[in-house]
Amino acid sequence: MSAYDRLLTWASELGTGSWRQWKGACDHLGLEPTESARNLSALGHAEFDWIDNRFARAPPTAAFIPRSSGSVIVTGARPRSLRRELERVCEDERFDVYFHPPVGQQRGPETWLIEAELADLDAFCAETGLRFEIDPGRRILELTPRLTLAAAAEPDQPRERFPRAWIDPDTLLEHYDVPPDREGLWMVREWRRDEAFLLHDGRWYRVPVREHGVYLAYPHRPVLAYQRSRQRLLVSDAAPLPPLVARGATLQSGRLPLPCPPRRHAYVNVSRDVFELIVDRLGGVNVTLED
Amino acid sequence: MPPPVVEGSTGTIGIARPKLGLGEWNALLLDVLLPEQGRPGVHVLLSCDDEAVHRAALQRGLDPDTAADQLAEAVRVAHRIDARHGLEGLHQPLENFKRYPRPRPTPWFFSALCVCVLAASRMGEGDVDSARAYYPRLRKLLGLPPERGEVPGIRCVPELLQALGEWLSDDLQGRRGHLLIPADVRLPYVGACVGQTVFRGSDRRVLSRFFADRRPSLEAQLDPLRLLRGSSHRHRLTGHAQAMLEDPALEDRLRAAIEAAYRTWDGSVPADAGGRTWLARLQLVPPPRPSLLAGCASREPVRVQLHDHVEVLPPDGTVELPWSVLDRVVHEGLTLGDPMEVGGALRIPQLGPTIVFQSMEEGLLHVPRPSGGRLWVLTRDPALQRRFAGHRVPLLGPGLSGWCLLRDLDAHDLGLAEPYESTETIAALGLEGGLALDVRTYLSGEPPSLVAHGLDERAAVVVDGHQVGGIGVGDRLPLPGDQGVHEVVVAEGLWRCQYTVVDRGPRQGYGSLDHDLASPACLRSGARPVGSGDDKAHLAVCGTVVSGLPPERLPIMRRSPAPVIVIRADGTCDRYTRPSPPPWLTEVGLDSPRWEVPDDNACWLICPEQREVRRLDERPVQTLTATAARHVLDTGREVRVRDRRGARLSVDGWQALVDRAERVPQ
Repeated sequence: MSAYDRLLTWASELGTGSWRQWKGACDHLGLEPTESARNLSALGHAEFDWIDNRFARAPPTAAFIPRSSGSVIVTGARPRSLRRELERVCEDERFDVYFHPPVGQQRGPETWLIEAELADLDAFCAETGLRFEIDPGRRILELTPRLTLAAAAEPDQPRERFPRAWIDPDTLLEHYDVPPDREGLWMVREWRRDEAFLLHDGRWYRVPVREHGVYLAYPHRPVLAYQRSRQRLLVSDAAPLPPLVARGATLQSGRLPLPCPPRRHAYVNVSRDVFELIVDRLGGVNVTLED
Repeated sequence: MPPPVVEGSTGTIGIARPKLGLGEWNALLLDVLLPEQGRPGVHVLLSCDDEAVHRAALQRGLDPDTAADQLAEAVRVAHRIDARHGLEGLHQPLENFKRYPRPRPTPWFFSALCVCVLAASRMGEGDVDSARAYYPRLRKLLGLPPERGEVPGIRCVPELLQALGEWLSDDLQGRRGHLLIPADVRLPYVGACVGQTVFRGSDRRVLSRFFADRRPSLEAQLDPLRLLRGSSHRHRLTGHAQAMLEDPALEDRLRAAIEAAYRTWDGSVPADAGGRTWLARLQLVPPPRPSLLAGCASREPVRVQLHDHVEVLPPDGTVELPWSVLDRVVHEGLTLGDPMEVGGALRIPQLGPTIVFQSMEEGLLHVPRPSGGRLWVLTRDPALQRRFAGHRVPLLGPGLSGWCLLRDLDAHDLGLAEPYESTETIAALGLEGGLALDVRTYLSGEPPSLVAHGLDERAAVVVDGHQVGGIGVGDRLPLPGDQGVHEVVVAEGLWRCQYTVVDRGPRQGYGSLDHDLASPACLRSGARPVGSGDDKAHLAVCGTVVSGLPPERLPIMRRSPAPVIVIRADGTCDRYTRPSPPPWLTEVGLDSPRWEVPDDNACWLICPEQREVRRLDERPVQTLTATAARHVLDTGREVRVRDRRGARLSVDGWQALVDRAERVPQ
């Protein structure tokens, strides 16, 4: 079991807890807490409330993945006994299902894939207590509101007591030596995490979901690319997708994006229409098409 | 709540100080002197001294300098204490208290006992058990004339203490501890009061330094007696206290006395020349408007002397320091203000040429020993400046020649030397790590480790009665992770703790947070507690569960690579061929030949090569398009008809569809 699997097991046994507990568990396991939170959220295992600094496990769910040979992945809480229980039910002859050996991944818990006769899935889930969702990635993307300044930002000033860096739109790198009234995206390095602020037409806005920051501040800078032949969505490491969009993209395969040098990561099994849906949800940002 | 500020009759601003009745004093002192204990079986002493009364006064907004007199006055009035009757008035409340039904309220004589013990705490170093030293102090406190001999009514004090002890143990069931009443006192009445105190006024000043140095260990419940015995501060205690510290028979009493003194300690540190100082909490405000701030833990305003002017540091507030302060604290500590003032003075310890700030909730705060995270560093060490040149942040403040600000450094990379401050920033011993499910409860296989940060010498570690090894400073000792309750004892009792290991957790709160997609604030928050938004239009996502929408229909899976045709309920059709399998499927070990046909309202699936049709839906098909009709006619009447799962069906439905196709003009 990887450290991410141990984190997922612990969080599933706990059910819900504070960010402090999450950080403590990540420290014990040698994981970076924010990255772990982002990845487990993208896979649909956990939800994070950044206002009250809490996390909670999502219910255990079988999520049907498109273009996956009729497979579901097991998302949400995965307490200790779950795999054994699922294996027991999979051996039941009433169900035409096959539980694949777990598939590991570098920066997240292993993928549990169940290949099933789709008509059996309702009964299988009823027997195992799993919720059942069909193509949740696409559904989440369809329901997520389109990104606009009014929807994603609120008037607020950065607090002087925390360091802040301006993000260069050309390089997306941080700069500390710029005038404090320069327009654009600023990252304020608060205690718990970096917070995004936008100075736009002389007014400051807080962008509570900081991943929206780049897409709001610099929509003309292409940070997304699409590889048609390989059905891959490429995203700049400096502009990670906002959580719900990232979840929608991740649930196209149930796999976290792969590192794609230099400084990009790639979501796999993303169809052209899902890619266009993502671009639309991000407010119609500039993109690059690759073969 | 702060006291109200009122306009004085002379036109000056003053503070309205409340006067407390005896019942209020009883409640206040009970909470300060005998608070609820976090663990059972704790031995306590009454230990009422001037520090405790000072602390109680601050809690209620009383003038701390006159609080003891106010207390004594309230006691004198309520119990009709005068020169002739002395404490005789306490006899009746004692008899009444004995008769009350259990559980009884706070004894009415509680504050009177506190005054008796307070007088004992004011005795000098050479006044052990001395009635001649005690009675004058009690008389003075109670405002009685300075006569010789015992105060009338003092003989009831042992019985009052006995009743208090019974009340704590029986009525309160030890929630506020069990009162220790020493039996080996030479003088039965004075000795009873002296027995409730161990430390004299000068001892309290030494203890304050000890508390300031070892606060984290004391908070972590390391044995305070062992800590004090091992501390260099012990040599500055009075001879009386030092003698008691050596006596094994008095350990419980000493432990209770140290804990009582710690409970009433206000957090200040005595200055060498008298008065007290507060340790400065330094805060760096980063660019673009950099400044250096200082705060402290005082609950009263502190006057801070800065160059040629004085600023008042309010409780929970900060004052801005000139950058030149940094140069002054490189080689020695600095006291800003007069320690003899009522609020004391602010003290910055020697910090050396490199000052580390750690990001915390309040901002960038100075930490002598960083515990991790991103560090910001002010340094005038040229080697460090060169080594981390890429981390330099321009610092525009004046008067900072030679200093440089570095950002985002790691404590490990910095390789910091031991801090100049002797004050502990972390407990000497503790449990760290482990996957905790609750306080000191861990998931099996994921236990904590015992970590030593500040031991003078290696110490033996006993777990569940078996010695498992030794531990020294910097060591991490993994502890057992099997299910059950485990007891750890370090250095023969310097620290004891229990932790529990369980196989499963509470598993509560699954699905208790979701994204309310109908909320206008949806993109401005992460997940929120379920039900915190407008439930009328609850369209929500929790993990992969999408609520508030009808379920999607499943696609149709095919194993055969042959193309298929779908006839939809609206009479339209589509032809699907097997796509090449996506590469990621092979990467995760899925090489199944199945492929999916979208079920977008499909009623019939035609597999021409296999002469087979599948009825997916019982709904009738509307008017067939010409293309759909041609596909039906090309398939013909001689086919096998199956349902979605492959079970054979009657051909009647298909024949009817063929009949309808034949009527469609081509």
